[in-house]
Amino acid sequence: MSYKVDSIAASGAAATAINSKEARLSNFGKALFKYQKSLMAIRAAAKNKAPKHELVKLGYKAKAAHLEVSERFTRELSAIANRVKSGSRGNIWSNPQRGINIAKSARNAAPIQVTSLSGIRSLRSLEVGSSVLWNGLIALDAAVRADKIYGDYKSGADWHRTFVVETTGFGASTAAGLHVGARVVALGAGIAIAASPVGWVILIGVGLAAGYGAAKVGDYIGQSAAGKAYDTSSNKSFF
Amino acid sequence: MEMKSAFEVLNVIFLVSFLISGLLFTRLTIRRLDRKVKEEGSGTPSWDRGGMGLRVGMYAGILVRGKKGKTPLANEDIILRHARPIDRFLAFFMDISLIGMILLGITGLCLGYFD
Repeated sequence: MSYKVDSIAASGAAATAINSKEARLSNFGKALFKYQKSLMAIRAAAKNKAPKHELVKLGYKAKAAHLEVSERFTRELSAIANRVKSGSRGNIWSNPQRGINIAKSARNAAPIQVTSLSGIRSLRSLEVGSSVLWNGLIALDAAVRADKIYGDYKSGADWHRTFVVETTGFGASTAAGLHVGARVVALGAGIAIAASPVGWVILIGVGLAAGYGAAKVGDYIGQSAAGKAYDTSSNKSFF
Repeated sequence: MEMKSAFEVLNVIFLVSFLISGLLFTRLTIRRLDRKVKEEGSGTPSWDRGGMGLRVGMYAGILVRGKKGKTPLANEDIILRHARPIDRFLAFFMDISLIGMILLGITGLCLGYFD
């Protein structure tokens, strides 16, 4: 096994990207679903000729749900809002009152099924299909390094030094890679959402590249510093 | 030769400061913030349940920035509400040493200082 493969630990960055996207998207999905459910409740109540105060109460619920969607997920909303046609009265995305009116009077439930919009469907499918990387890569990195130390031990080389150097390189590269990758993903999230769903793919790539680079540099730095410290201390006679 | 030994000393300093501040940040800040977030009723971000500690870099970014972002991936307001000055200091220190480390590393790679 060639040991330079090990800096792949940086793929932690990709895991961040994938998982944070997933969390954010599924929160978005949940908020949307809540809005849709409240509109459905209005529709059912209107069909059953519920009393007016009941409808008003449900209307407040729908408005609160819409407020939650529009406050927390402004970026996502603006990305999908221009795919939905809207008249002068606005649409169910821009105006919750419009959503309530449609729920009350539309012939069927299709216009208020917000989660069936094709744009959102594609976002959701991306969310479902992308839980690939996890801690396995870090474990692989550790295993490859352990293999190198064992190889040095077997061949009679200075395996103490290899052990120190590789351990430091492992720590530094993993820490640096995760840190930088997470940071890049956090910075790019706004842009990625605006460019949905391809944006996330690009962001995962960028996060992976940045994390990989940082882990590589961290590995070099860690190995060089640990080697230097080891050599200095072993050349010195303490007693 | 002179440059190379200066480089090596700086290298050790940055690495050690990054590792120490990272350790302190994780033990002092992240643990406390996790507890606070839990007390407020929401848990660790769902993208960090695997135990890799991806939230460390994210939280450090939030603390350094000091205000809410437009597309939060974590409970930013809870974190900012409970952050102490020492947390911000540690986050800042960790970031500075990481940036220094990476810049130094790139310079070292370009000049061929690594064995």
